[in-house]
Amino acid sequence: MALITLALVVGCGPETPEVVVYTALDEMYSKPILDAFEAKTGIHVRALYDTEASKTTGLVARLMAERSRPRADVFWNNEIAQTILLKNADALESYQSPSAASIPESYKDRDHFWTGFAARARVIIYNTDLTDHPPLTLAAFTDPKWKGKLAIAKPLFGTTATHAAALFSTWGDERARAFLEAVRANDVAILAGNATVRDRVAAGEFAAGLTDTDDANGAIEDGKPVLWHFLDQAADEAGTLVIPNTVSLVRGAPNADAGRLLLDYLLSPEVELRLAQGRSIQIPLNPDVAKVDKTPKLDDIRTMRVDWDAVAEALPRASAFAKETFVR
Amino acid sequence: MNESRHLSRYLAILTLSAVGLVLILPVVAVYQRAILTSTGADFDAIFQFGRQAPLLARSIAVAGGAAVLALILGVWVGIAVTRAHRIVKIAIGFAAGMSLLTPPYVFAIAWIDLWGPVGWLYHWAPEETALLGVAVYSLPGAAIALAAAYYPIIAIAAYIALRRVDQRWKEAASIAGQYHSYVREIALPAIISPIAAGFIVVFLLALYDFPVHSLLQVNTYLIEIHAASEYHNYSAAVLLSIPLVIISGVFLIAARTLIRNRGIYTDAGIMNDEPNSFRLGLVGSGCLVVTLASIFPMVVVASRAMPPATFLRLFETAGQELGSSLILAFIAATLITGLGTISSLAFTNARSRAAVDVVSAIPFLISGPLLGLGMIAVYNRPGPAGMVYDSAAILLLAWAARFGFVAQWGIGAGVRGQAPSGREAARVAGVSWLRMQFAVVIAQARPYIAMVWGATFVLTFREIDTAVLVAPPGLTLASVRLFTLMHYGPDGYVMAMALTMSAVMITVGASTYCLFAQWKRITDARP
Repeated sequence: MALITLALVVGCGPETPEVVVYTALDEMYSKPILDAFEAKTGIHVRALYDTEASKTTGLVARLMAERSRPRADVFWNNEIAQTILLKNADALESYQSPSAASIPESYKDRDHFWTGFAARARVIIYNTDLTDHPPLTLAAFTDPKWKGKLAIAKPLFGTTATHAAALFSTWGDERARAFLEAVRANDVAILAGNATVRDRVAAGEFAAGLTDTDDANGAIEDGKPVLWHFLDQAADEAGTLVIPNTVSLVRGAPNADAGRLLLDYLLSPEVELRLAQGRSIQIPLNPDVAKVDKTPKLDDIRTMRVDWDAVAEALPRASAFAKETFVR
Repeated sequence: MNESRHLSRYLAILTLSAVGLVLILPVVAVYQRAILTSTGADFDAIFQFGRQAPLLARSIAVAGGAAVLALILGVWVGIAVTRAHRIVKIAIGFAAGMSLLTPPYVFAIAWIDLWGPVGWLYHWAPEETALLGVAVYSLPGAAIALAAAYYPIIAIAAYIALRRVDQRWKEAASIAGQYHSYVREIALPAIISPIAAGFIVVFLLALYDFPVHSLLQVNTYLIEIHAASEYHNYSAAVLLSIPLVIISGVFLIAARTLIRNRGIYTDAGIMNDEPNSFRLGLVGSGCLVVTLASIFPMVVVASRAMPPATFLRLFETAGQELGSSLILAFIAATLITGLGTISSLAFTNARSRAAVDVVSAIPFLISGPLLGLGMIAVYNRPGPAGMVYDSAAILLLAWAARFGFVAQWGIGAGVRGQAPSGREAARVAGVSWLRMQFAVVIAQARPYIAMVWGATFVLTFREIDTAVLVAPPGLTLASVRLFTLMHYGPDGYVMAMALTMSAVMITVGASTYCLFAQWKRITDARP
């Protein structure tokens, strides 16, 4: 099998139609979906996966570097901010997929350069052996009651960087800066990534931490003593940040037609349902998708209202401040 | 005869220069773009000395601390192994080898499980030692974890060096009352050079191990480069990498000097003339070091990988990735070793050899991701270059660029160490240049060629930084799969994959070491 694969990638052009997708969603979730698309359409899918070590940045860097001669047709990102940076770098092509009709406007680009689906949300994960009354809000991270007991990922990378940028864009720079300074002053541990936050809360090193739904559910399915809840869900609170997967057509895609078909498929309720049923419990954005017991419905979550373009615009600013504050 | 000799050599040099150009162009592309597109204001914004100097100092402290500790542990274990019984020797070699070949990030997770504030050992330790657990997440903690991961490199260097000091010279020197001369002129040069080279290798590996620094909460200089890349400021990333490239370059040149200065020694083995109790104590303490630093963490990794059914599931679902990686690493190691062998034969002049050695290390020094971006800039274009870029050949080229210096330096050292008498005899007998290379030079360099092949196989099999940027779509490598799974994948599956990859690498490593030892015995036995 390995020899056949090698022969395929070394050999000459394919005889069957094909589509090339770069995906930052982990292979264990994205591959079955891409296989199903291949079985359904007969279009051969050549996928390239990212690694946790260089999450999203590896593929985004490659897409940026390949702009003069794109090799990918579709970019399936597991978050949104980097996708908008690609749009701003003129690396994406506009495409309004008919499958996206039911997806809320707030999760679609107004110019159709990207479409959101299957989201993750920011949650507080807590160790049930250490606390029955976990923090409920983002403000708790600055509360002296929790001094030294909480953890977050470095707000320089991944969804934590997007979250920090969302605070800068919605609260304004001054308030966001003051908040991050207070987090630091409250001895909140700044860890390598969301998965590390999950693992160290599960191990009992911290009472609670900020992470994503997929990480939190993974720990529960592995039988760790943890539970999670959404952030800031009270009526007078801002709600939690819901970060969608995004899918885009690459500008100058060599197989653009096949790429559009793949986009249509990825945005279908069938795919969102499948991702909701998996270990990563991705939250469907399409209201037509049937309810999955373990996965919350978007309607049941109080979500933070953000302008994604403004978030992407704030990202470098937020990152620079986070670097000065937390990397010393 | 003389003309044909020169012609063959010039052809070899010409071919290698062309290959070298192909491999070095990506580096030129990356720096040319970064420097030409940056203005003076950019330089001011990129280099913030007040912030970056402490980070750089911390990087050096972590790497230096890890290298010093690895030196102590490695030499200790290396000496102990020379005195150990064959069975103990194999057991220590296997345990230390497995821990060395496990991805350091996975090793560090096991290390935290063991020594961290809620680790296995913490439960058995007195309460007053709880602070030690917290200390895992600190600069010394990171240095200790990295030393535990990399000390086998120095242990191997020390073992090989000690095995090859001729003890009969020591005896003769003692009888003649010249023991100090023996130590100064023979023993120390023979032992210190490979150990110091191992020290430098550990320093460099620890310097660039960002995932481990990050996991153990130590902010190092690498974060500056990663943050710049995260926001696609590649010019800044390239410029920020310059201080590390300079530091690494200086250390690599030092390592080259040490490899070259191998001293005078032969293969007469160790004379175990110490008292039995001393030998037992030495071997016992070596075993203790290996148990604490290697066996315990590997037990944690193995226990996380259980039950055995996890391995079956791994072969069902990741067999293709493992197979592709094996085949590509095999081809890449053969290609790199071949190029290194030809290069060692072609560049015989000391000055040209030194120049080739330095140039061959540059693609390694600029780091994998930046090399990957350079490969894209050079090869992703219409025509033959694009055909290479669209195929697995781009991976072979990238790895040849990145690890070519291992072959260049390793085989070069083997060729340089040969006595000239064999070649002189061949010349006098009128043997052609090509035949002389095969019959005399390559025959004597076989042990080094085997070791270099094994080392480049291991390096390419586990390589990830460049592969993620240039691997053709549709081809997933085992190393990429492992790091992809680390985020969401079930813990046991990830650990099983890490163990399986380590087992593949140790099998190849041990086989090539056996070849090295066997061929070395044959070549050293020749008059």
